[in-house]
Amino acid sequence: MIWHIFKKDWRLMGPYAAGLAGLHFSLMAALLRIGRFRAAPISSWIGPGGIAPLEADHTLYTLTNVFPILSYLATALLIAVIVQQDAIPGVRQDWLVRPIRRRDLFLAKLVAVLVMALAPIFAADLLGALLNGFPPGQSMDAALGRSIWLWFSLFLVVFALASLTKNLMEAVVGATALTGAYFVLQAWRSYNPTAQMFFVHGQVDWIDRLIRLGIVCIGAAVLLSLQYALRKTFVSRLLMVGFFLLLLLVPSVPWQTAFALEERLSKNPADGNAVTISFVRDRATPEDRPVGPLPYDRSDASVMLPVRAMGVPDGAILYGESSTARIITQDGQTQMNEGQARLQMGIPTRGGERPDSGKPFTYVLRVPRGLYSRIADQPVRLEIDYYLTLLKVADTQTLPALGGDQRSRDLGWCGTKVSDAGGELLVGCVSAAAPPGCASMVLEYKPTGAQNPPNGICVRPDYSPFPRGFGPDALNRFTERLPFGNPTGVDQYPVKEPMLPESQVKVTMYQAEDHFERELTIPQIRLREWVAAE
Amino acid sequence: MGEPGKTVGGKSQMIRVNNLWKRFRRHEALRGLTFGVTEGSAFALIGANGAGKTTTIKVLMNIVGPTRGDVNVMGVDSRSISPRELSRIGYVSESQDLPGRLTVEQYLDYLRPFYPQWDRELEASTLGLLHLPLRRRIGDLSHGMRMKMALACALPFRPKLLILDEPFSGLDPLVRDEFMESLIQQAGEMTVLISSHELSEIDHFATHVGFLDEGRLLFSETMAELTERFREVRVTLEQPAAEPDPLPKDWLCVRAVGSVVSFIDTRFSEDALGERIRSLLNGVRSIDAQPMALRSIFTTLARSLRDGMA
Repeated sequence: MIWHIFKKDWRLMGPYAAGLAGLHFSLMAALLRIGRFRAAPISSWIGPGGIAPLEADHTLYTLTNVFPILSYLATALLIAVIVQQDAIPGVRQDWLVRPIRRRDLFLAKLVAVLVMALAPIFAADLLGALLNGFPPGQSMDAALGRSIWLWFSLFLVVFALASLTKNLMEAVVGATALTGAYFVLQAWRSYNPTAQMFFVHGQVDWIDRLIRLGIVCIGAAVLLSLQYALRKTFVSRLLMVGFFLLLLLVPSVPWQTAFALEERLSKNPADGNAVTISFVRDRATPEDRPVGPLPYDRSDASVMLPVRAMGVPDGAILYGESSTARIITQDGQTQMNEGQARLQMGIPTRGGERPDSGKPFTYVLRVPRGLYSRIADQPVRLEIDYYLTLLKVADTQTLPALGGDQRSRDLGWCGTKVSDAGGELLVGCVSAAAPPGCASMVLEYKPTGAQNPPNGICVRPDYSPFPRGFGPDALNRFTERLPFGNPTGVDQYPVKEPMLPESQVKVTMYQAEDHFERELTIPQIRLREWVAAE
Repeated sequence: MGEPGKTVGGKSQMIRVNNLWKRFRRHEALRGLTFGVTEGSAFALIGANGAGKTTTIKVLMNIVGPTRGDVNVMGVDSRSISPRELSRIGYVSESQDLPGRLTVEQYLDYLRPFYPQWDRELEASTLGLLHLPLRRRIGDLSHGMRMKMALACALPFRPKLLILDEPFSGLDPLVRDEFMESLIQQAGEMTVLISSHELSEIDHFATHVGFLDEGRLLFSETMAELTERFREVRVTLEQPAAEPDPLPKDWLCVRAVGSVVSFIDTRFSEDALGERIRSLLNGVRSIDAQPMALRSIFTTLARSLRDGMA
């Protein structure tokens, strides 16, 4: 029976599915044509000559940005139409009076969605990976991984929502209403301090996303079961609204809880044991610019605390995920606690700086102006919890600065070239494996060892075991720009264009080894002595 | 009418409905329906628009569930109808959604595997009788053609029970004839439940009739009993006539024009009619009592109900 229903759906939707498959394969071909260098066509710098000219592959680049959106929309539409060929709601459907088991109908629809919607994506992904020269096993893993991700994060939801609607019009109206509600509630959440914790704190939000993905999948499974087993459309629609609200309104996992879980998942939990954070009392108030996000309330007082991290192994990076601070006055009252922690964000390390180099860095403590006025001259106790990640070098690769072309296990297939606009070197990689969570690239002149400023130091290390978004295919691509001076000669770099033939790009990849917390206690401090100029 | 759950005249009941209620929000669509359809009979469910005919059929097919009451179809509670029962039930409805992008041929190809009893020869002969264009898409068929196709899909597996919901609406006379011809050729082997406004078409086909009004079943009886008890009576008097007062309850549509009084007798008895008329009217010159077609009976009842007379 499953086969007969599928055959009927194939007859009805086959041409549309074939057209959509064509779109997937066209996208694959466009990505193949672009190759390793898939960078925004406009250079990042704007010099006296204005914006740099477009890259040669501008059209292809634009297509590879537009095609995925089109293909996701068209696939969602295809799934909805497949399901609605034998819609569950309503009393006029032909299947209701035919000897068709509901379980068979569900399985037939499942097969149809897998074959017509997902299989072409999988096939295009697999072919794309193979044509990019990745081994069959790695190509299969990448294609399968993306298909599984798409299934659970997108297609299953569309399948479930389509089962609640009779026709495309209902589906489009429903989807529009949900999308509108989503943005309204997201906007509301963005003003909610609890929800904001994940926006401003560290990289462990994947735990929260995983929980929400779980809610989505459970919700979809419940709706599909109700619809196909019992045809309870009204109840299912109510439940759908319930799941939707649950998804958006339930507070995020407390950030500390998420980090505690991340700590348990540390690859080498003892690696950070030697790391200590201390207050550098004998140092004058630093003059350097405070690091970290801008305060929400610009009237906050910025207390600049020199802090030093010790015990960081050579070559490792200490990444500050977040911090919370408590100010305790002499009478033992906690005047500020972690509930206000969004204002105490600070990053104890910065790109390129070795925390153990002996140079203290500035930790910015943002204190509400009213509180600061009251306690500025009092001796107070300060307790700061730091949430830290230790990243160690996982692999190092070098590529010739010009015409580099090599493959490696961690980075995939990489190449180097001077951008069409000139003034910068493009380092482009395509990888069938997960990209490194953290990597840095530096342009080095081999004869002298002179280096330009590094690029890509752990701006946003990612510990997530699943993708963050929906890419155009199963391969991971990243293109970094290493400037060596723009054509107008305004910028000056140690490594210049004439030196490129004898230069190389050093790529260092880091891997998170340990996630841990450190508490810094300053028993007595007067905040006014450390505050930034008012 | 037999009680649900019992056999009638040695024949089992294909459909048994007992105290069936169906509510859609605040609207009571069905109010305590009780009737049975005996195996081999052709039961016509008649009633005005909104009387509850289609709702009754949808409950029978488990397309919608009953609010209250018991419905048994082919020995199974309607809420538990399984593919096994559905493989022996043919269903044709004017409001059925069909896959418009399939051709007639493709649709038949799709349906065949679901019905183990499907008879290809019967399919061919039915298709020949109904003159269906096999290669045309269902969506391109006229309404009449679609109805014929629905019938062509309902007959080849020789259903034990055929349910037809307003099958004639919107069909021209030629298509109706073709439809009925196909139906009648098969009718002897199956039980038929038909709801229709087109009473002239089922007049000679139905063996039983149930009359629904605002969700209530006003009567359910054999066609023979019904036509036997309804007569259009015309009484000619010797002097100008007046309506009898009080009017007998079983006389409907009573009119007096000149010296003629006409009415519909709903409890006709040939032996008693003359005596009864003479007791109510003076100077009776002649009495003419004509049998009525189902359509006339229906319109009489419907008008009387509308005017609050029945």
